[in-house]
Amino acid sequence: MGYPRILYQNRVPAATLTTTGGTVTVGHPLSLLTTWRDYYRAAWSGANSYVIKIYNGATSLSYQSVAISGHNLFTCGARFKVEDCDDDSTWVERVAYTTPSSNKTLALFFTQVSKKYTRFTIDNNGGAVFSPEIGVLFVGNYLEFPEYLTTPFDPDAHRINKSSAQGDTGRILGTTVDFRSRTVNVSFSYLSSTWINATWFPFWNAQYATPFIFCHDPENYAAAAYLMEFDVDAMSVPFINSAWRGPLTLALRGLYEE
Amino acid sequence: MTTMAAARADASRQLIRLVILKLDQCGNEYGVAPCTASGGRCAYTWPTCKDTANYTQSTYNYKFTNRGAPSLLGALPLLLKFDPLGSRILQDKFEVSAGEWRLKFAPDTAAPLVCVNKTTSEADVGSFWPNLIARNPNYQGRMIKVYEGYAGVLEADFELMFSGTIENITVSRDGAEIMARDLLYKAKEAKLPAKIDESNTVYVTLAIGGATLEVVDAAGFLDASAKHPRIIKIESEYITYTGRNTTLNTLTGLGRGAYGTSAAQHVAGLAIAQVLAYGNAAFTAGIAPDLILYDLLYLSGIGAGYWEVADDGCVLNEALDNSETAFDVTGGNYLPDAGVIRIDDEWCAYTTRTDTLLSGIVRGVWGTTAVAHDTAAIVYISTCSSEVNRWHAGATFRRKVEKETSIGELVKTLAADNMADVFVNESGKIAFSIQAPPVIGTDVSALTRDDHWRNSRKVNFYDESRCTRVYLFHSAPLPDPGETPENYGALRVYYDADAEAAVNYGKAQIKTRYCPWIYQAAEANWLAVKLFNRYKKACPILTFSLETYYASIRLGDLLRLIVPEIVGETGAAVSKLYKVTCRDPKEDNEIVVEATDTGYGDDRYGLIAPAMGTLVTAIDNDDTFIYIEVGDTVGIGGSGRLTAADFRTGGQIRIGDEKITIGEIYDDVVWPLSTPKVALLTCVRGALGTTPDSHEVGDQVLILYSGASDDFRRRYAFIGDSDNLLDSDGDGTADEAGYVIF
Repeated sequence: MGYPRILYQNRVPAATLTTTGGTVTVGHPLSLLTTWRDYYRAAWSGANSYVIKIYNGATSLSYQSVAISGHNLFTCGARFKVEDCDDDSTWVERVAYTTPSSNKTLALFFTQVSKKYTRFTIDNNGGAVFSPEIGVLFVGNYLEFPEYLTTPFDPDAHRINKSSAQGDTGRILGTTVDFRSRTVNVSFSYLSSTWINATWFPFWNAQYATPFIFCHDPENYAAAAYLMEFDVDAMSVPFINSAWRGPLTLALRGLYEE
Repeated sequence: MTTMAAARADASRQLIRLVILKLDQCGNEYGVAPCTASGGRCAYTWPTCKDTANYTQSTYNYKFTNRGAPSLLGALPLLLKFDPLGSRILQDKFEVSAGEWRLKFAPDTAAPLVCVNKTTSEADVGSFWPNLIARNPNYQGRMIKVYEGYAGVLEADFELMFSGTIENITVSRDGAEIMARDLLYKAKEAKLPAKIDESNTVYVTLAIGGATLEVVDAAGFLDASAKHPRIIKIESEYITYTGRNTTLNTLTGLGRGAYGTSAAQHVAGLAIAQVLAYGNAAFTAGIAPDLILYDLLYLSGIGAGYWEVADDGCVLNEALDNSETAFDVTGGNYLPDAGVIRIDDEWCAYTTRTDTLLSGIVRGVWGTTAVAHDTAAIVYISTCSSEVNRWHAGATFRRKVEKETSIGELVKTLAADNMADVFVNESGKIAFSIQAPPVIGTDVSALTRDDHWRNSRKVNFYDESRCTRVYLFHSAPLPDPGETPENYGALRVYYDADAEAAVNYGKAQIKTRYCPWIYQAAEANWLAVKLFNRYKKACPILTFSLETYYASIRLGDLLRLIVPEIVGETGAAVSKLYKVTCRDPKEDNEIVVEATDTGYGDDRYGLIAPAMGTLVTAIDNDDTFIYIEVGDTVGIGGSGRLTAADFRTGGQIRIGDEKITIGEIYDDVVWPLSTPKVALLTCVRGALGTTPDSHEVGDQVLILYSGASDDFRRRYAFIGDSDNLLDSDGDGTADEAGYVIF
């Protein structure tokens, strides 16, 4: 069992984004990658290879994870790799070519590095021209909780918004599904006061109203990454004693991607 | 990917509602020629434009889907719910309430850019909806469309479920609510004829033969680009004009004594009124209702792209350039004798037609553009043309309008005078449907109780719709007769003495119709008889819910229903035909349907015909020569008997159960002193899936189909009541036995 992680400190919104390969679809510019909203999608067409370059500015910035959400790379049969450098020339591969197995949110982790430039290369291994779309592009750090989740824990709990009915003679009529909403309740029985003060509250104060990507166990469930937000209007983490606080209970919500 | 039909048929499917707002956007790029703007803060709308001289009007589609819908590129998933109030047809009153939809959207932070589709656009801040309204304050009257689709279906295959105009947008911290109305509301708001200012009078006395009129201010009159017919009235004279000169303050190209009035001298200072007139130039005859209807819609701003058309079987038999005025066609016999057609997006008017040629064509009418067309292109006609051609071909109407009147009211009265429903269908098109039984070949869906949403059904027996007596006022001698009996020149009265007897219904239930468009006895008779027969019995309204599988059932469709709430004398449920008169799709899975009993039971017939003729000689099952004694047993239309002109090569007759396609046709001249006869040669036996058989002398011969000529339709389907009685002598009374022809 691994410690849960929340991906945050995305470098993309403040970075300078450029792209090469194909044509950016009208109405779907690169700047849409900065919104944390998977329905504002950047889109390209006309090539079989595209590059997105992220320039963080004169100062190198640290990052230890990348993620994509609201994409269609699986449908396109595409793959991507991540490289970085400080001179816009000597690119070092950070993530080898990865082929998504679905269009769901995908997060990848590696040892933290500090770089000025990061670039994503998306291709389909020399295949035909394709038209990728990406809603959320993440390049940044993650918060790793220092404790395991309190069990039982269910990352797949979700509500189904649907409508169905019975016919006048009792027959079951068709069902129309509106959407499925993932609701994950996360709880930690106790956390050190030191960690709460030094790490949790700065994170919370910066993040409580911003979407993020949640991975409950990257070690054993690498494919389980969800674009979510906190579903709370209050937060509390009471003292147990002077050294420990808890429980910290968080409700997360997002779309149940299919 | 899958199809709409397959997705609907699935026991489970994910619904996508796609809303498109078509708001204004400049077609230029900021700062790029011809745009000379600088200084920023351009949101590509007129109110935010920094170079209005070069503003180029275009539109941008703001797309929204319901929450959780699979991502459609460029669509924001903000649609929370909608509350549709679909068009409701109240058949017995010939009223259609305009559809009104309210759509609620979630709030959202601003889009990343003010205009995501522009190369130069500022980053956006704040909230989406307030920003949108601030930059697009001219949203009222812009188009809104709502589509329905399913996960796995291509966006291009989604079905339109509502098309209208934005009436209002309300923004709050909870998001936004858009109120939209369908296109007929636009017609209700538009008014004709346009008013001329009281001070804008005759400036210099107009002589009796004068061709130019000097007025106080010519700018107050319509210019040549106006859609409104340019007709004015001074004293009692109607005058048409073709142009205006705002420098000389003159109206030019005067047509004096128009629409049946007399030219006269008009002295300076006399008032001038704009008027409206439909009829021939002398106002001695009317014009076809389709020409009037679509002219009114066009004048109200509802363009030709929004008129529903029908494919009645005519196609081009040649490729056309954009100037040809005679079209080779196949199936010209399916069209009215004269009228309007649509090929691709171009509307054309024609004055004559044969089976293979349309001629006297005016290209690009009603604001459309004459373009080239490919051979085999479908020659569509409007639903109005199609329905009128089917049910009372040749009917004409006329009217003068002097008082400012809602175009919606003009359309409504025209529809009522044709016993028709005019409504906006789910395709966002204006459809025209005469209240009549389904014709042969009409696909009528049958629903059972199994299909109804549990406990959703109720029946309003709607006794108010029943009528035992019809008063029909028509032939108004003066303009604007309104609903004042004295303003009409003629009255048709039908009543059912038996129904009004004390032992029966016991009272007179009167349906009074004022018919400002009808000026001839024939149309009045047709309407009065049809109206009386249609509403002799009340027309119950059945309300029930269906699930989304039945979304293909549309407003105006016919349904065959058997429900336990409506039974016969034995208590057994009876099968009846209903017309869908309202259809409200609810948020998720439910469609609420209101269906009105058509009163037509299970009968499906196309034509009612009199007794026609008998075989003169017996035929075996492969004879191709058929000799028919037509006698003098028929007299519809006053001809006294059938002649060769009543048959048509390629048409069909029926003898017994066999249907036969007609080859050559000859009037018999061998025995001029004996009973008249018609000879049919080179006939094809066993047509339309029937089996050739032998037939005996004296067997009856019925004409099944004889082309779409006005004459044939007038004679065999013009007046017939529910007992299949025909008005043989044109006195308005159906009193001769006829046949229902299948």
